[in-house]
Amino acid sequence: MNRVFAVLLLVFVSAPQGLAGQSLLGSRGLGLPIEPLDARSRALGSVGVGLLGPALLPTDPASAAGMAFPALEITLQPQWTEGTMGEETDHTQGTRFPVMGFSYPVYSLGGAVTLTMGGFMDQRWELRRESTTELGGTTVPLVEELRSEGGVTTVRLGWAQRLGEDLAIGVGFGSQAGSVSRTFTRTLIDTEPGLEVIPYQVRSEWQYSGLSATLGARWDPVDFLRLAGTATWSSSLKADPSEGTEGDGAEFELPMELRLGASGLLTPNLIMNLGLAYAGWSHSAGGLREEDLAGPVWSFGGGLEWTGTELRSRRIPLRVGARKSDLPFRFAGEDPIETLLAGGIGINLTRPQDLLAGGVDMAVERGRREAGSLVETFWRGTLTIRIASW
Amino acid sequence: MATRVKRSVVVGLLFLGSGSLMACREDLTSSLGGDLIPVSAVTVEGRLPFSEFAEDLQVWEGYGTAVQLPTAIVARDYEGLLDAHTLVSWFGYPTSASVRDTLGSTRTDTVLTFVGGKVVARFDTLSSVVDGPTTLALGALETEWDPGSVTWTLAVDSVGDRRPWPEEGAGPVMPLSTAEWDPAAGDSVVFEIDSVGVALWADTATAKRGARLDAVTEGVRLDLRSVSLSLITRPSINPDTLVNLTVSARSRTFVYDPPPDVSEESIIVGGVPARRTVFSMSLPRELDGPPELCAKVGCPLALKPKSLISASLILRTHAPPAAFQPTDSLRLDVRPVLEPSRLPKSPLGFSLVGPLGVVVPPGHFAGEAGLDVVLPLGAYVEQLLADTSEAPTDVPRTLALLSSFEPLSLYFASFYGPGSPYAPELRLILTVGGEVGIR
Repeated sequence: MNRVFAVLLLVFVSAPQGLAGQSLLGSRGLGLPIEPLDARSRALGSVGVGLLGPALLPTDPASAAGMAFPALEITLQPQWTEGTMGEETDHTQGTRFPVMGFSYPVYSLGGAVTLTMGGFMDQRWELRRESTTELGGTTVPLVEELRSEGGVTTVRLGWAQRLGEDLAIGVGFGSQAGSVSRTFTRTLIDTEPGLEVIPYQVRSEWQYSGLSATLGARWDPVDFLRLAGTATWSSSLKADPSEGTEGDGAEFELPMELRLGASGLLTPNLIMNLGLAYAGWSHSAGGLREEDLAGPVWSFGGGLEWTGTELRSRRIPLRVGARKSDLPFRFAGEDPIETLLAGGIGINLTRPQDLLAGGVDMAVERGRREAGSLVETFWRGTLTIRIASW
Repeated sequence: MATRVKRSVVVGLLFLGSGSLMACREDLTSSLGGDLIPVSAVTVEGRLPFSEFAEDLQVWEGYGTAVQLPTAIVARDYEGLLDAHTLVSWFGYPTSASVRDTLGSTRTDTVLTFVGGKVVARFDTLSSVVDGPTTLALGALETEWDPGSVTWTLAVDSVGDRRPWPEEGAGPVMPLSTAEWDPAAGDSVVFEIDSVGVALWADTATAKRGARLDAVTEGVRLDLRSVSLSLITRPSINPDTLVNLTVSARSRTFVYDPPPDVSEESIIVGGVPARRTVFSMSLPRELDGPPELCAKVGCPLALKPKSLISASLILRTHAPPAAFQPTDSLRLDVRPVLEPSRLPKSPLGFSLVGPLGVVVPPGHFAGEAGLDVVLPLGAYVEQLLADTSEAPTDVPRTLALLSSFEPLSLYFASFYGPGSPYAPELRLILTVGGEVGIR
């Protein structure tokens, strides 16, 4: 058992920092937002708060209050995107680790400590442009590429505390970290024979730093209903140029994020979840420009979970959900919107009487992002593996 | 239960692993938003005349000798100019041979009588320049000579020992035989040697002097691939039988006249002994022209390593004297001279254009008008530009132009020098771009 935990811990530590980009929208502003949600939340269209049952979510620090055993969760997320703009079509794909977390209950205090690492902004993208230039009286074709690699991750240390049977609160303190490198390459192709030409390349890199704090609470006013809410404050996000980078640094104002969620038992085996989230992005000198921002960002979502299915004494929850979200950064002057439908399944790999609990949640989403003439449709899978035991 | 738990964990990890593998391939490139690239760049070209990027051009010669070449030359009044004689020295005659006696047994015979011989010369029929049957003459050399230093006028030209031929052109010789070579009939010619001639080389000292092979027919240049001596021998244990014993060539070289007459302003590479052209780089720190460049990026334009995407030394071919016209491709190399003060014996650095050099077809040297030969020097010029007073480096500034294989041939590469309208140029291609920002 210890060996298994050691292996999983190694995966946790060595995994890439959860940021891969598969959207042109990620080339605007601070990138494409990544929500640190697990596969269950994704399948239910949740905004990440107010789900029934214990969970290990950076968006809801109070949700870990009910966890009886030390637990480890890892989520990975492949995505395939098809983008069209005008008459042109392009395909991108990639994978990311949006959230990883560990919780450890402290029975003497009636709470649990959590450590999570979740994605915040995806800044991995590459733009390509083909052109020509005149060289020695000859027209030479060329390709220009701008590649961005990296992103922003939030590492949080949290505490979830039960206050009686119906109430729990949670706090989380975190640090934003990560880096982004941007490389511009201009390559002449098909030059005259004998002429050796290397690509022109300029690379800059910045390191991110910032702080964040999350406060959350959940309340079960009756047995069949849960209400929850969180507020996340972030300091400004500083981007300091690395050594050798000629570009200036920047300081971005990050918004206060508010999330509200509710879950209710419609029948003993049917759960409904609804939620909304709000973030008030603002521009600042030396940071995000007004024309880059789409304004306040709202997100709504909800879904149903059926828990009545069992296979060989193990529960197999089935989930469906939908969600609509604004995206914070304009693309070509247009406000982008993301809509998606989701479905998923959970597999408990162990029986209730087992001391070791292990499970896998999977979600599949079909989504669409629109911003003016840009339309992206995507398939996104989310896989969460969790294990809990003494 | 423990087994089940382990199995469950393994299954979970397999899910995780397979999922990761499935989507690990990242493909982020998109051509849809190309117009959104917020970086602009301009590519321009600049050509520096020789005087603006180099100085102190010198031609050094004496690298390698004809004995190192795989072919020797025989020529007579070739292109109205060139005479060349091939010299060959022999090892000593064999002192014994295994011979079948009258009873059919093989025995070693140490009493051999050489009654005659044949010298067989084999030519390269493709590279030789000859119109038809050609008469050749073979003579025995009467003077000792040194294969490593012999020239048309000197039999020995080494340190402290300088001995001229009694007669220029590796003479005199004692005529031994003549033969006619018809290229249409084959690639070899046989010189019949009588017993008197064979006796001339019986002594090891005279064998070492060897023979001289001349062309009698005028206007030819023959490339000789090999020469061998075959002795017709009468063994004492079976006098009714004649056997052939082969004597290998100890060394083979050639001497020629006249040496190529080349202008001091020319750039010469190759030949035998090989020549190298050496010059020092003195790059400017900024460009102030041409007008097309200034119109695009403004002048003066600072030369920075990161802007440089191509640098090429452009040489223009110049037809050498017809007798030294290349008949096969040449390979040009450029190497840094590590200790210019020790020239012509300075060690050289690694090749700047690759181990096999830049191939120049022979046709480039056929006409008077210069054709461009491009020698890529991008990485080297980038190092030169990075060598500033603030960040000095020890990159060598003196370069040598030489043949990749030295010596390669009698012919050589000739280029217009600095004083010519076809003087060398340094072609620079630069890309000037804006900064990559985070916003």
